[in-house]
Amino acid sequence: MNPMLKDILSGHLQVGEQSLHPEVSLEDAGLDSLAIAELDLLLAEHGVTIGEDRLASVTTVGALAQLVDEHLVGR
Amino acid sequence: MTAPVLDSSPAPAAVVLCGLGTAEADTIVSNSEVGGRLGVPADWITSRTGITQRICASAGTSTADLAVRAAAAALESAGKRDADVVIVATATPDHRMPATAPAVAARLGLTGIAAFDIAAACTGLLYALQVAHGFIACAAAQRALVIAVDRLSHLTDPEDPVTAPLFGDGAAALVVRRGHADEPGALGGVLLGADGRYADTLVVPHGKFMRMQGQKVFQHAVTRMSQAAEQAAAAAGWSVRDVDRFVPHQANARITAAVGRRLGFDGSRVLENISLLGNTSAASIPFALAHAARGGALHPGHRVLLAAFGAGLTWGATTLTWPDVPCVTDRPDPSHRLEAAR
Repeated sequence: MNPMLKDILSGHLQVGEQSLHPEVSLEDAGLDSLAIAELDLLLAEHGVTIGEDRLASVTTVGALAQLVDEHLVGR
Repeated sequence: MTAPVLDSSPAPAAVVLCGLGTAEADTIVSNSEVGGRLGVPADWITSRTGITQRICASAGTSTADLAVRAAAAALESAGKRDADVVIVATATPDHRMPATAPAVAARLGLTGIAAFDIAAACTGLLYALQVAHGFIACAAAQRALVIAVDRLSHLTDPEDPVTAPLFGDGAAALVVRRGHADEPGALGGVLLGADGRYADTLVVPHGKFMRMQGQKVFQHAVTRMSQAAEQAAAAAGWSVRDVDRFVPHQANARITAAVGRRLGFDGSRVLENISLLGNTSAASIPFALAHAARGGALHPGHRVLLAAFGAGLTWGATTLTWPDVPCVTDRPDPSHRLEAAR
């Protein structure tokens, strides 16, 4: 997982280390729709502009990490 | 009551807080009750909003009823039952016409002076304070009674899980007077903004219930309150480290936490009481101030930063050094009621 995303999830959004695995669902990781909205803001502060609608389309930590990686590559 | 004599003094006038009163709605509604209606667990509401209960006005309690109670408390706090202008900030006026303020002023015995409403939703208090500042700065008033009051629980769909758990009803009033910028209680610059491009993110159409796009409101609230707070603090010559108490509009505890994190506040400096009252809209900031002052978390001399956000979209922020002012409420604090019930 990208270190920046890992820092955001485990820091600001207080996702436990045990949930930072690809197969864990965002719901089980405690990331509800408001957390996704905040994640979108935090990523934008780091120059990664995805949009909460696109973020809300992924369902697992692994898919989230892949989506962020795709945007980082595309910058 | 006669209109005030215009004062042509050239001295720059500041607006100084000299009275604070609150009036909570009568009924406490628990998360169990709301959750049962919505078919969601009570703790889902708590985790989603930080709210454990909300105060709701009965159908027979008008906006003016709440406003009069809070205003009477604020005038008692100020030690003088007098004002030159009455401004009511509300999104829930009792009538489309006339405004609520003249009726409130009359019930307080303040007839003959200017009285009018301001509609800026949850940011209404700060908009009203800026207008009061204008009255005082141009010497049209020496004292202003500013009342923030809403009954938003009556505009939510009881079956909508997004909005039904959020809102409480209540009123808070401030008395501000002409004074000097270096006095405790003097407001710093009031920074205000609005952006109607996003009006449909939080709207109550005519004859319908409130509609809210939760994620978008969350993002705008966090971004706008953070920016406004930073600008208001900078205008006062403060850094975040200088602020003793940060008081954001109590919209949702998740928004409060996100704004606090973004600005770099540790939790102890951020005042929060949404858990007991719900989102009381324009009244939420003075409710939080009064709650903290009574509970010992806010002292005279504390440097206080206020930030609000609401439908419109609207937002604002200002600063003050907390004055030695008594906070008067005509009902026990809900936390006291909660303690008593345990």
